[in-house]
Amino acid sequence: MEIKEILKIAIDELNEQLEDDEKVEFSENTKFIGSNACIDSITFVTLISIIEELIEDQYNKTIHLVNEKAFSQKRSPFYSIETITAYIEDLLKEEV
Amino acid sequence: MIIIKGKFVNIREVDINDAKFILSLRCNNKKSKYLHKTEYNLQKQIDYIKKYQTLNDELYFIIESKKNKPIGTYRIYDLKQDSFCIGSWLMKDNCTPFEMMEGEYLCKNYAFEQTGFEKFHFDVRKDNKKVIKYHKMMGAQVVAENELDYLFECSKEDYLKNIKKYLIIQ
Repeated sequence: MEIKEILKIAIDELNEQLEDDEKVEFSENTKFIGSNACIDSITFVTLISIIEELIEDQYNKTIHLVNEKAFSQKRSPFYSIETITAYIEDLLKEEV
Repeated sequence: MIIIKGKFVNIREVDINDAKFILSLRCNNKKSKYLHKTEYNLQKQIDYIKKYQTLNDELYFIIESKKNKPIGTYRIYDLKQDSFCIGSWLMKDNCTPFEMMEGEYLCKNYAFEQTGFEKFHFDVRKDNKKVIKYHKMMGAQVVAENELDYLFECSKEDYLKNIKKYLIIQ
């Protein structure tokens, strides 16, 4: 399964926990962190956890998205669906 | 006054000068949806803080950004035989996930160190699904329920094991 598909499933699962006015849209314009973020911090952490669980199920690999590498990058890898996708793909390549 | 410095935030004990900030969080309709209602009354809030300052079985923290701006509140209370209760956890909208997680971690860690307890407890409104999900993710388990709330417990060991997945703790 492609990482982007996993993110779509993760967002669907996240939306089950959210109120109607908090639902997250799976869109390239959706921002997850920063001043234009569509989710609050607790929702962000929950999303990260769901993504990690799905990666483990699909790829049989345990990855921790919030790690030293995430802090060391100039632009947060958690900014958008595109950047999260690229970040996870990099992490999975490193695992090989 | 207790001041603890972290990588993303600092925490310190509440002061009467924080009354307005506390009211800005507790009287925010969205944030207070699942909380006991608080009246927007500055003097009452100041009196509440003054009363807190006479207690020796509670900790009321203000979570501050590294620029010393208040960004959240957290309270430790209801000390039982081997467990403390956590509550009053509210954060400003624009705080980062790392500020949120580290703020909570510093408060809990201080409480663990001071009390020597190995677990904590709390309740969450049944409708507050995202907060329930978050606490379960951090190792908490439902131990009871009533009409309105789930009652949770979490061991220090389970909490530390889970928070370390997300936060770099020295």
